[in-house]
Amino acid sequence: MKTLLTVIFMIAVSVSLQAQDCKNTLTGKIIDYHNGDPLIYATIQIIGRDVEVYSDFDGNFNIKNLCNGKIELKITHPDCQDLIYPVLIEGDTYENIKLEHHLEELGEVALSGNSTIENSKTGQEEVLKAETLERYSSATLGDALKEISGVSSLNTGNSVVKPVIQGLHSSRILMMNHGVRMEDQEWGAEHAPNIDLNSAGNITVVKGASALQYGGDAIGGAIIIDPAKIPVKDTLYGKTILNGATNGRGGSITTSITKSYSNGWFANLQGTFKKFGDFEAPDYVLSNTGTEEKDFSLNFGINKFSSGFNVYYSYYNSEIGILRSSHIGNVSDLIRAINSEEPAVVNNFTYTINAPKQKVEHHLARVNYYKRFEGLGKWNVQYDYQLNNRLEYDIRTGDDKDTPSVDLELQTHTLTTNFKFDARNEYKLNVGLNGSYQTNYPNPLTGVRRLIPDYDQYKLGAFAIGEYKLTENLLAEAGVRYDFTHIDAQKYYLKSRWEERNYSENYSDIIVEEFATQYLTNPVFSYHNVSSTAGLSYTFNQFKLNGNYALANRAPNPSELFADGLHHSAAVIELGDLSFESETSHKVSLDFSKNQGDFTFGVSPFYNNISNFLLIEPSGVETTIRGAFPVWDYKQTDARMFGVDIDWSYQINHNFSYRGKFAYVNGKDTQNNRDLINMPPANLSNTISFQQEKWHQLKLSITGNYVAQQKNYPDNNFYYDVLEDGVYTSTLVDVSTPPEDYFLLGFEANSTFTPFSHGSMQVGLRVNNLLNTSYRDYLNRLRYYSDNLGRNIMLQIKFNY
Amino acid sequence: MKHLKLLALFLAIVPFISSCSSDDDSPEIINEEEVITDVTLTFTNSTEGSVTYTYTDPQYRDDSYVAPVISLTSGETYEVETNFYNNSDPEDPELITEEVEEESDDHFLTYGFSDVDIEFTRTDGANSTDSDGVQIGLSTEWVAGTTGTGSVLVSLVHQPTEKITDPEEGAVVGGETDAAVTFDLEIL
Repeated sequence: MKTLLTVIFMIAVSVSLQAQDCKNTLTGKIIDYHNGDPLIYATIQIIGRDVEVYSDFDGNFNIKNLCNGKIELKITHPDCQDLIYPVLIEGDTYENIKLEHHLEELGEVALSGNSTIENSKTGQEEVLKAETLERYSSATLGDALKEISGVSSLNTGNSVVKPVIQGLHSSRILMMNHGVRMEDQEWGAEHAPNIDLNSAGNITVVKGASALQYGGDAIGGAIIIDPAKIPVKDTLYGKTILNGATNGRGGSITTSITKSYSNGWFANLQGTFKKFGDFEAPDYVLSNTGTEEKDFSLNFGINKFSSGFNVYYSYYNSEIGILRSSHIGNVSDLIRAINSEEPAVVNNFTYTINAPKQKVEHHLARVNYYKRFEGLGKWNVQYDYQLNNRLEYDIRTGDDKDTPSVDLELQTHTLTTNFKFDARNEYKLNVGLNGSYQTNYPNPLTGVRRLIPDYDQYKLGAFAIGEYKLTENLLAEAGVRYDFTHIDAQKYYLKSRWEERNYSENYSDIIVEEFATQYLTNPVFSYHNVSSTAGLSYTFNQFKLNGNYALANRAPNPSELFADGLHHSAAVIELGDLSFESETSHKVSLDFSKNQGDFTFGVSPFYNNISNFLLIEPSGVETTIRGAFPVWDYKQTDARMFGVDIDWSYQINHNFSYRGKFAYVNGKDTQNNRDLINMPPANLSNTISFQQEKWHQLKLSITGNYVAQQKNYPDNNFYYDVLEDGVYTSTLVDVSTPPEDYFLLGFEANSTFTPFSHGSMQVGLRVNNLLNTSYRDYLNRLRYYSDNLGRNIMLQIKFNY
Repeated sequence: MKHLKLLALFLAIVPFISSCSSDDDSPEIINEEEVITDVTLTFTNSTEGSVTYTYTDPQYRDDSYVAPVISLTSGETYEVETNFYNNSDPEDPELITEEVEEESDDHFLTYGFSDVDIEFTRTDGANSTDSDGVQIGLSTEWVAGTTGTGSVLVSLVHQPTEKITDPEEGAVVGGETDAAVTFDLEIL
């Protein structure tokens, strides 16, 4: 066969060649720059002459009858970029010609920095694509992520939405935003990720710690936000999405423009503006819940196969009103709030945002360079800088009325480098190093004792992850990572707190200076952590079975170490402890899926055993001059969690389809044999869709979302003496019982039009909580004070041009 | 290679710039600005003169602190002044009462008596009466009734949605508690 083809080639070559005087022969080989493989069927033309030959199975070609002198070859191959290649002919000449392969991948390689492969080949991983993200354009990142089974959210109202992966959140989830690990004070339960959802092209969620290249402490998982791929060709395109919503009487606009060139240069500009007034529950206005968000990002660079660089900057600015009624004084106020059907303050709708509120700014800048080494792999180096400023305004009196109570400035510098050996098809290896310096500056002008102290933190990490194709169907993956964390803080303790914590016994040596009521201390801690992962992936017929084990270690965060203060929104005193050690998690997960055919499914069970698990729970009541407050102590215990995420879908016929998802997680404190607090309740979602391409690609769908009542919760209720009509009565303070189950119905309609000669327009209508159901959610920190949102009708218009 | 040089230059410069701004000084001490550390009740009576009882926040007490017990004589009438102090910085004590008076619309005091017989009236003058004419309760008059022991819970509420002065002891809807302290009380 091979010889026959060669003969045909030779005939083709000789036929196409013109009779010439010159007798020189150019022989050569066309090879893949990437791995040195020969490229078959590449077309080789001599520019300006009617000469055309093809490379054979070994990538070889020859052109006979050439004169001495310069010629230019044009080489084309379906998978590669065209190449103009000058050759000097001096007698018989030999040339090795390398072609840049994998044009499709190129956009992804350059922009996502260090990820061409999946983030974890054997773990549980799911991706949200642009079309899903666009539906949530006016909402938050946390809302969009809930599309993934097993991902829920921890809310403070409806605008502060933190993702929860299989029951874990905050510092246990790592966020990679455009190749940069987010450092946005993610430790706080009411600190939502400072990311504009509209800057993402796609989002990958790795459930668990198997994506070691990003960090070894992602006990809960990793959320990887990548930009849209930019093609390597001469083009200019844009996208604008307009949203309007009845609930909150606001909307958003987001625009993105991209210019790229076939020589690899590209630039992208993107911006978003969102504005909402007070949101509304079915029966009342949620006073002071308006939001405003202004974001933009800029991305440019050169995106070649052999090397490239990329500069990215993004700015995020949001102002979020916190429900007025949630700002309370003490336990008596809390009892009043819990026992009242409606929030204490219900005003008329307004766009004004007053205290309590949060104002957050996040700057992110990154410079990235990569170079590909022939037959070896790709080297990547990156520097990034982040500046996060968080202002929290409480209701204050007098001169301090407009002064924030919290003013934290967190700066992070990170240097990352990795080398990915990916030239061979059987195995791939990714090794890397990263170092970071972080400094936190709490502004003393707040006049409120610092929630998080001044600190400097140094981190150093090294990893190696490899994958090996054992057979055509079986792939093995393993990785190991070492992390060093050093934190040097300067913290003031009230003397009364210092004694109450018993720090004088073990920590008297860290006192730097003594004041009338306070000590200045210098706590310094170092943590050495080793994390690892190993797994197998087996594909057979239409099925795929993944099994993965991940060991992860997480050093305690500044809040867990140093917190000591009052949280108004929860009316609790939160206390950290200096003696905490790193958390260690052992997680085993399976993922059995079928992704082809009319019926598809994915079943992902997991078991996670966490020793030294850090959790915060009530430990008693502390009396202050403002009355009594429940004290929530951070404590360290052992925990285990297990659960399962299930997805399924069925294409009923050409027009109708059905899909569903279910998630369950069960968490227990094994040391005290107690249920873990804030575990997401079981939830089930079913969607039926109708699609008709002929009617402007009309798509209609109805979704029913059922959230069960959480029956497994720790009982932290307590009694408090309340003065009523001259008599103190012992009153139950029910802070534990989860809200009842609820069912929400949603509706969606989408259509695409082409009213212009160029581009397209998509119109979408969405209704959330169609039946205007009153409900409260267990994982909403404001559930004591108010219901969740009522019906919301949203209109979206999207232009592609 | 040109790109690499540019990048190297950039990487060399950026950490340098940012490291210039850091300093190793100790952070300055913060003494809470609007915290209330002490609540005092000053009782004035034509025969007994003036007595002040002070409740101090547990976080700011020193070893000499003794919980106050208000002692009144049955049948006597007392003019009572309630004051709030911020003594978190001993060098710079602050009288919070002035702020409460300035923002009388935003504040209200309630008095909760338990197991004691006190006839209570609000006697606030213009300084501590809000724009709706509600006496916020910084100045009050107590008439001690039958002998016995009990307590009084003095609360300062910020931004209540409703101020209730019937009965005179007062009650609120909404708002958050800025201070809530219990004094033991005996009528002899």
